[in-house]
Formats: sequence, C-alpha cells, structure tokens
Amino acid sequence: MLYRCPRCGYDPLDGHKGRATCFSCGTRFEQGRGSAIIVHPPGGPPEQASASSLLADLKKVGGPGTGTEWGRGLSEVSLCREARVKLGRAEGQDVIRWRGEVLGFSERISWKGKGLIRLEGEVLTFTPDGDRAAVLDRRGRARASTSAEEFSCVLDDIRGVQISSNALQVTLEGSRLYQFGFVDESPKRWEDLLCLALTRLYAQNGRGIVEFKPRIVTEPLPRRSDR
Amino acid sequence: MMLYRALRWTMSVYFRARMKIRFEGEENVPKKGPFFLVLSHQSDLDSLLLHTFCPRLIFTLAKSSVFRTRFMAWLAPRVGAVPTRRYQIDPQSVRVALRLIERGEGVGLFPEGERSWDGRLQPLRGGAIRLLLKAGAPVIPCGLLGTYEVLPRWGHMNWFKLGLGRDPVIIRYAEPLHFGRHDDRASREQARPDATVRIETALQAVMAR
Repeated sequence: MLYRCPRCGYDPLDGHKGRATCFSCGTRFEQGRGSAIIVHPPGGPPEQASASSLLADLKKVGGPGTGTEWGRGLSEVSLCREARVKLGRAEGQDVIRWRGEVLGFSERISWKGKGLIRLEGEVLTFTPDGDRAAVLDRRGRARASTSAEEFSCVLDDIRGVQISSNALQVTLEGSRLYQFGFVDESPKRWEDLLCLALTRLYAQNGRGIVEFKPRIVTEPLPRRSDR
Repeated sequence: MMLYRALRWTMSVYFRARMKIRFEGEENVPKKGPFFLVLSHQSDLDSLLLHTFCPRLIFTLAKSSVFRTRFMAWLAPRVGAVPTRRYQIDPQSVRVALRLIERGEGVGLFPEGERSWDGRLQPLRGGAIRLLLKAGAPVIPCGLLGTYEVLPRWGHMNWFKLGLGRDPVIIRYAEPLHFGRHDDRASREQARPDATVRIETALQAVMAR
C-alpha cells in the first residue's frame, strides 16, 4: 500500500512483510496488530498512524506519478515506469453451476511468462524475458521461449483497471482480460499510476472519469469558465 | 443447504472463540420475503461473518476469481456465493440476483465493488444501484464494525491470531430502505442519484461508532 514515503516523498519505499523503510529520511513503517501502523521517525519516539492519514500524505507528496526519484533517470513529470511482472491472459471461462442452474462464470487465467511491463507516454507494453534471454533445450541448444507472449496497447484501448488478489487486471476492448502479477512492486501503485495516466488522457479530450471498474465511465469536464 | 448450515455452525463456534461479536438491529432482517443487504467492504472477514451470522441464509455476489480452483468452484456456490466478473459488466450475476429476489431470498451486495484500503466508504458503483432499483426489494444497510481493525485489506490473514484481545466486532442492521421497482432504464437513471445518496448516508450512519 505504501509504495513511496508518505513523510518525504522518496520513491520507492523498501518494504517486506509488513515493514518498510525510507532510504532518504530513515523513517520506518511497521504493521502493528490489525490495522495499526507504527511509524518510527529517525531519532523520535514511535507513533501510531492510520492507513487513511498515511495514504492522504502519500497523495500529497506525489502519489504514483510525479516525483524526484524514478531510478532510471526518467522525467519527473512523466508517468513512465517499468516493473517485473508475470503476464496472464484470460482464456475462456468455467461455468459455475449449482443445482443444475448456471450461477455465473469464472475466468480461466493462463500465465504467459515473466517479463517487463512498461508505461511510457500513452502506451503500455509487456516484453517477455524470452526476447532477451535464450532458453536452452534438453540438448543445450538455444531456442526461443515458447511461452513468451508480447503485449502492447495504447491507453485509449483500456476499458477497465482493477486489482484482484495482488495482481493488476486490465480489460481491453472486447472484454479481453490481461492480468499482471508483480514480482517486486506494488499492484496498488500500478493501479494508481494507470488511473492517473487515464485521467490525464481523458482530460485532454475534455472528459473526466467517473468509474474505472468494471469499465471506464466518463462524463464531460466542466469548462474553465463554468468553474 | 445442509453444508451451508453446518459450516455456519462451525464458523460461528470459531468466530465466537476468537472475537467478541455484538449484534444490533437483527429485527430489521425480515423473517420471510426478499431483501438486499448492502455492506461497506472493509475486510476479507466481511463475507465470512455475514454468511455465518446473518439471521437468514443469504446469497452474496462474490468476485469470480474466488471460484478459480476446483475446490472453491464446488464449495462457494454451496455456501451462497454467486460469481461476478468484476472486469466487465456481468449480466449473468444480475440475472441470478434478480432470480433469487423473485424466489424470496436475501442477497448480500458490496456496492463499492472492492475492499477499502483505508477503512473509509468508497464511491458506490452505478451498476449495483441499478440492480437494487430494478429489483425493488427492501434494501437493508448493514455495517460490520471492527473488521477493518482486525484484518485490513493490506494485512495478512492468520487464522490462529485472528482478532484476539480486540474491541468487539459489531454487526449492525439498519431499517430497510424502499426505492420501489424501476423496470425501465430511464426511470432507473432518474432515481439513481437520489438512491446513491440515501444508501451512502445510511451506510455512513450504520458504520459510525
């Protein structure tokens, strides 16, 4: 949940199993019992904070977007980012029945391998590892990874964004569902990031997003003179 | 329904051993006839507690990914879970919910569509409100207070450490709201803003300490 430091805005926050540390200001965040978050400021006594106040602070210091630390020399104001993920794609669905009646459907996710997801400008791409690393067969010969699948879409094609069980789900035109399981990043960051990128994109066309899920619903933004 | 009842009993023993649970306004849940129970989604415990302690056996719309394993695809429908594809508009789950209401059953609904990250009420989804308006059944706002404090969305479930030594979890039912039945789309759209505000206000009230 806390992907950047809510105190100083440093990005990323180094976290593992309910603990996170900011390398810049030295503040440590620790999950207490239940929903309590214990903040250890450097040199100060520990204090208890709520998730809502920390999330509000996180938004104030830049949220998923603008920031000073992008790690790879990317622009401060751009929403460019990349992360290691496992790509999954919905391929068909299972019918859920009860007492002979169709209750509904459950998507069948087929995992397509690991790679790098990248958001740059208005394009979201996934480059599989197989493209760069040769895979050796039983006889030691190099071959391309058979499970490798590329993915690329412009933000305009995205119809919905949401988190499901620690993975980010992106729905494209025609209810095509892609799922990104993050290896070492927060899916919440990527949900916030994509939502921000989509909000900016639609705002360019004078529209504001009302709902991101199950599908993006927009309405006209008030004109400046109306505000 | 035998399995559902047996699991309700087992889970109630477990939950009562782990945490203090208080019930308020149970008389607002009708003994007969259809109703919707709307809840603010704070924790993974919400649906478990609801299915265990609701005075009536209840069906709840659950995300379709819950049904992905063979075991859950077998078990979940037997304990009242109805799959909903959250990544698209799912007409099948709407049909099933309406069918259950027509049969006089109780249907649980989380109109925010997902758990809250910070324990606060999130905007209600338009589709959920449309479903309530189309069905026309009484809508009972229900608050599960304290589940976020026990197990927030960003926390980790540990069945052995769950809830010990905490404030009681309160399951509170408010008086039913009546919106009437709106069969055509235009009338639903007209009634939606007012219904959304009324449900939001009722949920805020029912979740207040």
